[in-house]
Amino acid sequence: MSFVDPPQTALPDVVRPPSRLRATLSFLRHHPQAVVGAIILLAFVFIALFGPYLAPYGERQQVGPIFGTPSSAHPLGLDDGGIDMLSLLIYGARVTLIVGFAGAVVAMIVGGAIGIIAGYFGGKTDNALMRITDYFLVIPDLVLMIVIASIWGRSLRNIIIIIGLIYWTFMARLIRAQVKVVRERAYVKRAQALGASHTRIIFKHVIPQIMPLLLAQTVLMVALAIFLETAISFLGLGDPSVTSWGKMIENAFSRSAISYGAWWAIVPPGIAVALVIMAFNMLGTAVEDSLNPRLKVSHLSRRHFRLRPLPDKEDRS
Amino acid sequence: MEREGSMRKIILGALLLLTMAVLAACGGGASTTPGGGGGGGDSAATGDAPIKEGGIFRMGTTSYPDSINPFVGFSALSYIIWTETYPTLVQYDADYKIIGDWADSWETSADGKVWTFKLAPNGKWSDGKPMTAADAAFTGNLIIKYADGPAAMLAPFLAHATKLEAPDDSTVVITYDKAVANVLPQLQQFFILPQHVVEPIVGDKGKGLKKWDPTGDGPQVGGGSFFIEKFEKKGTTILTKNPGYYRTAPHVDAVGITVYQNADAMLAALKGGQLDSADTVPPTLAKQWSEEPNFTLQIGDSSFIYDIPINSNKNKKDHKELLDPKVKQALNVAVDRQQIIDTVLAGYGVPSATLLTPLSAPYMNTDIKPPAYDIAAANKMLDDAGYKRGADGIRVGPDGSKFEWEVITPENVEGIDRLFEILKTSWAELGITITAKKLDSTAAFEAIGAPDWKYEDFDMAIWDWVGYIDPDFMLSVVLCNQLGGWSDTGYCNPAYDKLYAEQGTTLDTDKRKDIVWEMQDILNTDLPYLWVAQKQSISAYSKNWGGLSEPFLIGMSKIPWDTIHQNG
Repeated sequence: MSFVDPPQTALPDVVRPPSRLRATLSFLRHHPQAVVGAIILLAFVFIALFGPYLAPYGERQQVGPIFGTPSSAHPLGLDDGGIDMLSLLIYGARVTLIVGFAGAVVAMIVGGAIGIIAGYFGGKTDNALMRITDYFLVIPDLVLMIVIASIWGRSLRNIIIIIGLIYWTFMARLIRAQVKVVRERAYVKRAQALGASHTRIIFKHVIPQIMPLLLAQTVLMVALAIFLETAISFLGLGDPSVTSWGKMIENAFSRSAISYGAWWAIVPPGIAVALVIMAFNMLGTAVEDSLNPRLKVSHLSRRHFRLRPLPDKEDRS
Repeated sequence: MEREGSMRKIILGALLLLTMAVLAACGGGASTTPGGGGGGGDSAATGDAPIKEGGIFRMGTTSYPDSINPFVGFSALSYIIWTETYPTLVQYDADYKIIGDWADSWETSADGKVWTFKLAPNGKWSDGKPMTAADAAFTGNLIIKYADGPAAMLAPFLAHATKLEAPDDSTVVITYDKAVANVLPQLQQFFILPQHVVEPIVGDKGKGLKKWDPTGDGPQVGGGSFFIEKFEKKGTTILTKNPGYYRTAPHVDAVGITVYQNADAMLAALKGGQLDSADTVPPTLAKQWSEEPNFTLQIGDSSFIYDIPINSNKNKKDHKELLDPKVKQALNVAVDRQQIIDTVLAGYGVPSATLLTPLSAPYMNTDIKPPAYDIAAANKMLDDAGYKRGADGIRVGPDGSKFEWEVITPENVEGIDRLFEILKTSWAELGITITAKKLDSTAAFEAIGAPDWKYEDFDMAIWDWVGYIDPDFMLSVVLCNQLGGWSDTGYCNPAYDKLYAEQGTTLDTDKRKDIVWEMQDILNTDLPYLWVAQKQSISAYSKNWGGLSEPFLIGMSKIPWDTIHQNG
């Protein structure tokens, strides 16, 4: 098995980056958890895309008694409405993933824009935007979530907006810091000297530089968004007309599945949520590790905390 | 400000209705004896065991008493506590008929305006002071005096009364400004307070009444079979036997009421021996509990009904097809009541088709039968009415609007998501799409009245309804004058209003019944509501206790707690 070293130096401008394919392969080799995460995710994405064809029964089709026990016809049993749990789990994947992705994208767009503007322009703009961010940062998530869901009503769209509202602050802070670094780079200064407009500099020079970080954070955020969606649904604040994993757990809980002993109505959606979140985390941290320049050389990285360069390969376990 | 005031009234009213849910949840009909068919040896657990005096009966509940000040509180448990700790003139018996409580007998003047009650003698408040008719007259006149102010919550129970008098210590005379049909059912909730305690706290313009804390200076001064020894809103409230009770003393020394956050925790406590009874068993668990050897599961009728209010306001802005009775009749046929009962209530329910329940007998119109579920028939009714399906299979109204309706679903209605899903599935086959708008109950009620109590925006809702025994209140909700008040349909029909006024002053039961039946026929034609299912109440208690197998009339009568006893 050949082994390709990633760039090991803190001076990236002297080392020519490897070709894209080689870089990808090398990345995957050094981050096996990314591969595992990606496989799990692809499986769930596949289920979400083709759910209606995969599910053995309908989403609202009553096929047996309330809390029917698992059997060969219904390997995960029936829920409190006598609906096949396996089918529900499959239908729920779609909603859960859509909310996860959409919520994270909202957070990325809002947080990214604010982070870039604050970081790039600095000064008063930076101050104003960051104070707003701080304000949102200190509002307790759960309370904000409950209040908004109660006022706006329960719909998938609102949940996505709520998730975006809660998580954009993290993104904004992170991106701002990175933009501040990029802004001081020589080529940005040169572009400014040549008279390039702010728009041009942001889109041509800043965004490409922070894109990897933005993407890695978004992947991590999907996991958080799915977790939050599950929590919102469990509290009964989810969209009542769609099936999501959180809603399944809420249904079972509110109909006393625990006292009934109907573990099959609660455990499978719980495991599904855990698996997806784990997968996103594995993928996200791996991407972050390899793309976030700060984690390469700094004390911020637990795994890479070494005085570089060091030829030791153990540091990439 | 005025709007705010009336909104508050509505909310309070809605909560009052909720309160009755618990009353009714505790009410009941026949008790089931688990395994009764096979064993036959279970009779010892019910009525036949020897009575052992004394002991503390520990009740669990998932609701809580919001206040024990009758001028403030409105929750179910508060009413239960007042029923036990304050005398009322009359009460319900096990068959939901009015019998005397403090009053031994009563008579009416020929014109029906003056009622004279003879009180049971020898009653004493729990502080030892004698109870007299003056207490009743004082309380009644206080309520009448401050009916528009601090006593507003108690005023309905003395509606149309002009004065109360106590010609001697054991006679109360109530004068009404007109003949009122439901005097006695209303008086069942007229709690008589101790004059010597309340009079000093009334204050300027009655302002002290709302601030009154009955357990502020030690135990409450009660005059029923019990008094409140200790009150904890969301903890354990202890009711101790009142030695001066005017009737036969209860068997138990005290009753403890413990509030639980959810039914699962409460049932675990019951099983673990920390409780002797639990007021609600979730329908999904009823079957398991019926097999518990040491507990008796009580299943009985309640006046809890699921209903579907449909906007019946003629000025409604869009989806005018919902004003067409033919559409509503088709929808009524397309409500799968049996599946709703099987799924939402785990089988513990009865299909219903009118706003009254059998508890209101003889006023429930038994000629109105729940229609059989028939999608084909419903489709034909809509086809015949001229509502064609569009290219996408969704029917289209005369104004070109699609049959796509928004259903308001208040979040605290048990099982409402399941109910909605069943409707959605059934009605999809009719070419109708419904979407849920889930709101908390206050917001839901406002959304129904929107904008500004003109009832122009909403299409339909799903809600529950817990009725009283006397039909008057339930019948009043669809009156024209309730628009902006209790109405949740925007319905207004002057012919119906006329009949309502008539039944309100008809003292003869048979004649009143005929009118009330006719009113229900009108509603069954116009269908401002679709009535879905009546829920049965399910409660459980330990077999160490007896005297509960009678219909459990908690909150409507002192009887249930008077008969509870330990089995010897």
